[in-house]
Amino acid sequence: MSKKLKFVVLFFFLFSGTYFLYNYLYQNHRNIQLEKAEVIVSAEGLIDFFKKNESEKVLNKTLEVKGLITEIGSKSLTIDHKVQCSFNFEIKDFKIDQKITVKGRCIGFDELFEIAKIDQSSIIK
Amino acid sequence: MGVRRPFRKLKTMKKNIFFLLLFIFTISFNYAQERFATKSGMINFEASVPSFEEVKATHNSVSAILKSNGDFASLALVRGFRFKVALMEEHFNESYIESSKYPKATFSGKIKDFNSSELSGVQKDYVLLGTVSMHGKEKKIETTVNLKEIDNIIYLTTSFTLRPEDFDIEIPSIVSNKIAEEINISTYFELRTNF
Repeated sequence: MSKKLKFVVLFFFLFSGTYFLYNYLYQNHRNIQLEKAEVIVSAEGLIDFFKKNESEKVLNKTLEVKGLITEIGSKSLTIDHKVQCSFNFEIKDFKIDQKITVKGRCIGFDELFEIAKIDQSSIIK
Repeated sequence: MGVRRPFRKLKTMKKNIFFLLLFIFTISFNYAQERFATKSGMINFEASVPSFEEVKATHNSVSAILKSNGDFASLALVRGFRFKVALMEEHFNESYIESSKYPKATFSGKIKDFNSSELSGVQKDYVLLGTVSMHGKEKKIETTVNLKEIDNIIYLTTSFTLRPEDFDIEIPSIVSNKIAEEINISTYFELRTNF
């Protein structure tokens, strides 16, 4: 009986151990679309964070950016010539100068074009 | 003779002004040169070792600018590299590339003998020379780029290898056998003129 119990306990620990290890190793990616935005800014306002050397307040954080669409790509939009938002899917039905709010994760400031970049974007409005 | 001298001076002055104007003209001409660019270029890198978990990431919003004189510059925000395994992405950012300290990976260089009017729908190989910088370190590279042009869009692809130790990136011995010593990098850019 006790031998059987020992076996059951051992099996239980082994099983839960593998379960937790597996969950740690293969944890899910952040779901930006479900996360609440930590910062809500205009395109210009987002650039200011980088100009004022306060990039740590926005880098890798979930943001909401409001503005007008100034450029449309197959999987990206540019807001107010200042923020490029990239999507994980093809986008369509957008017009230049359309008002928009996009949620996404800020990946940094691009000096080549002097724009901020956001990935894993989703349309809020 | 002494009387003529002032005229000679005037002549050389005229000559100087001519060269100055020519100089200014060439500068402004250089400024006006054509620029091909993208904000959503692609970089893939792979450092997989057979029979272990694949170590592979993709970046879909890399910026790049190619000037008509062959100057080429590219910038990737390292946070934008996406891995299949979330933990791997976290380790890449926190422990290896240290993306909060070094948020950018850049390349700047020149395509040898580049001439945009030579391009056509048929792929052509060129030599690209330049410097890769990331993680606070620089490394000179030389590689082949394939270029073709269709409907005023230049398609640029290239691939090369880099070694983590060239950029002072230490791979702990526990995982060193699961990460290749040479990392294969391949890029794809659709460069457009309307920028």
